[in-house]
Amino acid sequence: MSKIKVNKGNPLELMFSQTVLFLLFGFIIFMAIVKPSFLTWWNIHSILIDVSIYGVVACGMTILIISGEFDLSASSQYMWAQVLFISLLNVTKNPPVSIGLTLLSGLILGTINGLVVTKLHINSFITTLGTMTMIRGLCLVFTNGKMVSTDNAFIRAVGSAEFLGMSSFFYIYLVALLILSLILAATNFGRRFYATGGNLEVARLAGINTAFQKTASFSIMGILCSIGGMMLVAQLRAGSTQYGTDLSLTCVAATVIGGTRLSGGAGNCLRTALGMLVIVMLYKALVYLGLQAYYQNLVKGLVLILVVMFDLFMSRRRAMTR
Amino acid sequence: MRPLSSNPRLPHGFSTFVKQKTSKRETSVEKYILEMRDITKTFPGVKALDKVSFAVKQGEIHGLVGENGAGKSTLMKVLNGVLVPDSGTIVVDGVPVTFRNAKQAQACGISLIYQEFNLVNTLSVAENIYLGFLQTGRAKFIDWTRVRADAAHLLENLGFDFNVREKVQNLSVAEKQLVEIAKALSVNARIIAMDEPTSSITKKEIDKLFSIIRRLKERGITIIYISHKLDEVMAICDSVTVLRDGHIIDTKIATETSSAEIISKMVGRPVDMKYPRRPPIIHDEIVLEVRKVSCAGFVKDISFSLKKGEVLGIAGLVGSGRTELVEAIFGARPLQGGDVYIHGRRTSIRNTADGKRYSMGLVTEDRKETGLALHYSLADNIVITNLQKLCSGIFVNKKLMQANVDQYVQELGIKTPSSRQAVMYLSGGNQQKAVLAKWLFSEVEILILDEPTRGIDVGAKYEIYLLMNDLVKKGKSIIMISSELPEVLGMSDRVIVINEGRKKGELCGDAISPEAVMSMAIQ
Repeated sequence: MSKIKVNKGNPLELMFSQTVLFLLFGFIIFMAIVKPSFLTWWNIHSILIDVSIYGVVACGMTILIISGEFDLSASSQYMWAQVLFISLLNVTKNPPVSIGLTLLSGLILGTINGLVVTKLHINSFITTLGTMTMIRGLCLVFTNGKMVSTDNAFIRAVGSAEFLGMSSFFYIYLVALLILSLILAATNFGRRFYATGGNLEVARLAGINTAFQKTASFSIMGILCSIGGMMLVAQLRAGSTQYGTDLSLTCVAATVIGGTRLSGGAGNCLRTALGMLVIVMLYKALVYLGLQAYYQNLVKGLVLILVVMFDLFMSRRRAMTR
Repeated sequence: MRPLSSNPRLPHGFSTFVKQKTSKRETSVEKYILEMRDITKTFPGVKALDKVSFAVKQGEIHGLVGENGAGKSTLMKVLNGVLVPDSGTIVVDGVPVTFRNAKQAQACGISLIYQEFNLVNTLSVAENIYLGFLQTGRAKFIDWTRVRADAAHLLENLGFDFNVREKVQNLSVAEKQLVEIAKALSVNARIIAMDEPTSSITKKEIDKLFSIIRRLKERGITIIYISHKLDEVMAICDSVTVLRDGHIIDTKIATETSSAEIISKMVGRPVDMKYPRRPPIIHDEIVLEVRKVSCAGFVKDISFSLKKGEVLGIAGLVGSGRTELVEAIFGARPLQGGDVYIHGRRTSIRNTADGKRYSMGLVTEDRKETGLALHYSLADNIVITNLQKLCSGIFVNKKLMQANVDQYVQELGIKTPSSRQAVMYLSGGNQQKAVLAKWLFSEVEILILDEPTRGIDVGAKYEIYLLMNDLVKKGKSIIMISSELPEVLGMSDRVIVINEGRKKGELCGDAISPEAVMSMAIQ
């Protein structure tokens, strides 16, 4: 009997698997020293609300990246969900119907993305670049570029509801995170996303319907964009083509900072949640430190590149030692 | 037990029929688990398999050997359902079957382990074994405990005890192979075909693999062992089938044959007059000398020289490092050691522009990927290597270009409606001539040809050979890599043989024989 050695991993590698945690704790400690007021409950709460809204969409992006795809149109879908949801509320005055129809719209848009990618074999970058522009155009046509708002009582109630001192948004995110994590980790449907993104040909030969998995990941993304959009409406009671224009890339950044490789086949939503927490905290911290909000993108981009550089460095090192 | 006799005088198919009858009469224990009858598979321009009949007995280890391109992989892909044959039948356990995909073959108990593994690197060992169809428990949720226990049990039965939670990317090649075998066993494979299983594992791991294969045999599993490495085949296999040019040549009981016999059967065709003669025109002047060149991590310390007017053949199996070697000499890949001398002067060639400056040209093995810009015209493809020659001032002189292009089209006999035709519409032979033309236009002295006649028809091949003769007559020197042994033998003045990144020998004149080259290339 021979025993095959298991790669134990060195401390550096171990640390890398938790880069995002190190980043998070380091950052919190730094802020606690430099600007203790950053850590007031009120501020933490507002950070968590933002993380919840963006995080829902980021879950979708994570599933797509796991499957080896990508969606640039998320920001437009998110915008469209806001606009559509408000219009539906104002017309029907019926929240359940409005929610249902907005979800349906997300499902349809996502599925269209998926079908174009899998059936017409157009790469997801081009496909979603196209649909991103189209859906944005649709929003502009629909609203004439103006802000739309609603004063629906139900929405106001959801937006201001709290439980155990936490906003309702946080619980919505928690439920989404839980369900999606469970699907990804513990169902064959979920595991097939990993197989598809990890090695398309191998997955196909194993009898997995890879086109279905990819389409499904886009459909899920569509639904999550709708949920995210509706959450924003509940928070602001308004929707605009100005909200969330760079959401797609923020979600990709959160996924990558969380430690999911862009090459597919690995990752999970929990990591992305931590990645999103880092990004949102960075945003708020810049404001707290008295820097203009315009610096946000500069710093976000920098952190993204540094994290990916580190990832690349580590995987090269791993390849060398093998 | 008599060998599966095969009489070359009998037509294919008929011999199988006879074999089956006699063996059944002799003993009832001997039973064919698999018979492939009269399998024919044609690809555009090539008959990969021509009425191949291949039978494997229950519980044996059956070796399948042959040169590159003999049809081994095609035959296995037919068996595995990845390729559908043009005609012929597959019989498993006496029942005729047809496979449209790998899944169907698997359901019939046939698994093929590819040279490049079919594993998802980012996932765990356990998950890879049951990929996409993991055991579920309550409410459709995966029962991970069960999955891991089952996977561990499968590996234990193979004599291995390892962490099934480990990601496949952290495993060695040998370990990945085990996972593949376990994967095959997980779907109750009764016939496991292994394609070149030892191509990238160490001697110690090979021994381990062999003990596993023997263990599988004890469990009644039939193994088809495909390999170039004859010593391994002779060591592990019960019987050996030789495939050559899409035909079954013979099947032998391993103990009743020898490596020498198998080699002679592998190369057995006569070297006929497919190659135009040329008078010896080699000058004494050495144009290129390579000293202890290493590259690509596994090509080590190769030295050779090339004289003016000489055709030097480089023989060796696919993957032996031939291509990497010439790429490094030309500057297409970094040299990791050694020196290249041109006309006795030491050079430092860092990129392909340097290679060109030293008057070298490389005709790559894949003309469509790396030889031609397929969407561009024939004319553009020819002049691309030396636009300088056509320039007046900073502009390309179109008239001069046309005159030059016409000259080469005529000289090489490229058949095309117009030199403005996109090369993608030309035939394989004419495309290959276009690649040659581009280097001739650049007036190189040393022409490196990597598989110059791959995938082109016999007539075009002959024209390429004539062209090569013509070039050396004009004082150019040629290095030719080829997987087709007769071509190397027929065209080269001298042959060096590469095996696993090392130079195994150099043959000259009458010493160049198929047996000599083949034994250096595979042992």
